[in-house]
Amino acid sequence: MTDLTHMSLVDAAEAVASKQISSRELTEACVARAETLQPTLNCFISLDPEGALAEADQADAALARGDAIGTLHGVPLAHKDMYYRKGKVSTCGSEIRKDFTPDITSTVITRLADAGAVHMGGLNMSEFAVGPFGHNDHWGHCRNPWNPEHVTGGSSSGSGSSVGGRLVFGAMGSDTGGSVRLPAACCGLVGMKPTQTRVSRFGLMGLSFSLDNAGPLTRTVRDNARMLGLIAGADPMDPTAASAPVDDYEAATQNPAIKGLRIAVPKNYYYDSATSDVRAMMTDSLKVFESLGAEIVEVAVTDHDEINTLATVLRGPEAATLHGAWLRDRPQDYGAQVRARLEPGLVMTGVHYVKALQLRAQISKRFIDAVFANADVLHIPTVSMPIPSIEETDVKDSQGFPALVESMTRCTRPFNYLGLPSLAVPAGFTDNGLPASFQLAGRPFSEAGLYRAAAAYEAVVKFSDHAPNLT
Amino acid sequence: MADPFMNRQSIKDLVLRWHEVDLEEGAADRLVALVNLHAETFNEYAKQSFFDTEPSNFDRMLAEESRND
Repeated sequence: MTDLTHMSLVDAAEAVASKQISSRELTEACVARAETLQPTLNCFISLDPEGALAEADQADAALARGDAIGTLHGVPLAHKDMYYRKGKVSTCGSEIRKDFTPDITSTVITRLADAGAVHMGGLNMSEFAVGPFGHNDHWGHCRNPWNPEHVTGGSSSGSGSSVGGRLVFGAMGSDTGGSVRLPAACCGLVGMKPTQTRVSRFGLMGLSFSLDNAGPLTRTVRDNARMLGLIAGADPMDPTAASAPVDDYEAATQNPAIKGLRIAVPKNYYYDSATSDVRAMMTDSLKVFESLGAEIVEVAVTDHDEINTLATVLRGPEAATLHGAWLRDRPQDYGAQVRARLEPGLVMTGVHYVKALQLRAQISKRFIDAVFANADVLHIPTVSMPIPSIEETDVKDSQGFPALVESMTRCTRPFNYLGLPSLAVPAGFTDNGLPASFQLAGRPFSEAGLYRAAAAYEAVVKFSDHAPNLT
Repeated sequence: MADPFMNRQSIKDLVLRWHEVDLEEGAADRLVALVNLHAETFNEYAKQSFFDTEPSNFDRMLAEESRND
């Protein structure tokens, strides 16, 4: 094995479990690559080589003893720096919480650790998970492994950059309007925003509890399915976590057959501002699905301007409530755009907020009926333009910033209000050499079906064989 | 013509009174536009009764609309 860091998560786990390699060898390779590439990518806020290697040694010792092991045994991961670990600083990508040390560990981190994962450190992110491009005025902008002059997508910027750059085998992000799927799209990765409440949010920094989701970013579909399978499900620490049974996601990725699958393609909204090269990538990916026996069905989606406004009305007061005291006392400690995006919640009324909550079932049901009455999944772009540069999108709170944010998130944020699962999947490269991506969205709790379809596509195009050229 | 009811100064005064947050003028202008956008959206639902709705409607809908594949 020449380059351990380029294996898939599943292959790495199997190599450790079968003692072809040790967890220490694997972790040393990841640490070395992280230390080499951190100056280029700036994807870690805190890299912890000593802690990771100590965990790797423990994993090797457990294996030597013949202990029962989990499906991530000895595999290095890292996570957005808002997944709390008791006694460890979680900055939330901010100045305000740069020294915050939680006294709890998030359920997601506990479940991944129970499966044997090695923790490499805290990853860069947009400040307080606000920002779809990956800029960070406090910890430095995170950089795209395919071209460091370009954005990683946000807000889980370090998650996209570190997994895409082959520094770790998988990473957790969070998604309130696209923050898992956008970095996955920008960095050539698979990223899952599960059904609302599918994954516990205990011990996760909140932004908008009606819209927040925890989701994994990985290089392959099967890797992603394995991670989601470990973290999904009810949690006594988070009563809002759904108690619906957790499907065997990883099994759905094995020998996936999609003959007869009905794929909806929207006539309106999602392609309204798509560039020609993005349209071409979407068409190419649909041809792959057709070659596998899928049927393409045209649909008209319901009013998305309304959905986006209602999402804003939910997010605004929830985020402004969490940040209210700091907006009053420490406004200068926010990045300009982050503060500008938190302030609107201060003027939204309680009646509008509750109406936005109460309309959610009605509007989501209307969308499901329109799209999934005659289709199994919806296929749409993740980002409808080529991935932009860091410089051209670093606009702070200048006049045009709301339109820029809207252009980046228009295909992702509806699904947070609708509560539906959506999986970002690599779809080749646009004319500027940066990754393109499509989303597969489905009915509530249909993650297994999304993984099955994506795995069938991946078996043909083998997107994870393409790695960025980083040295 | 400036909206006599909702304008930069009234938004600034409101936010200062409600939350003790001092908005910059550009931020206040954005919020005026946002408030008007929200008014348009919710006016569509002004006649709809919400009397029989409850927060659990959404979670129930998710469960009902899920379909094992």
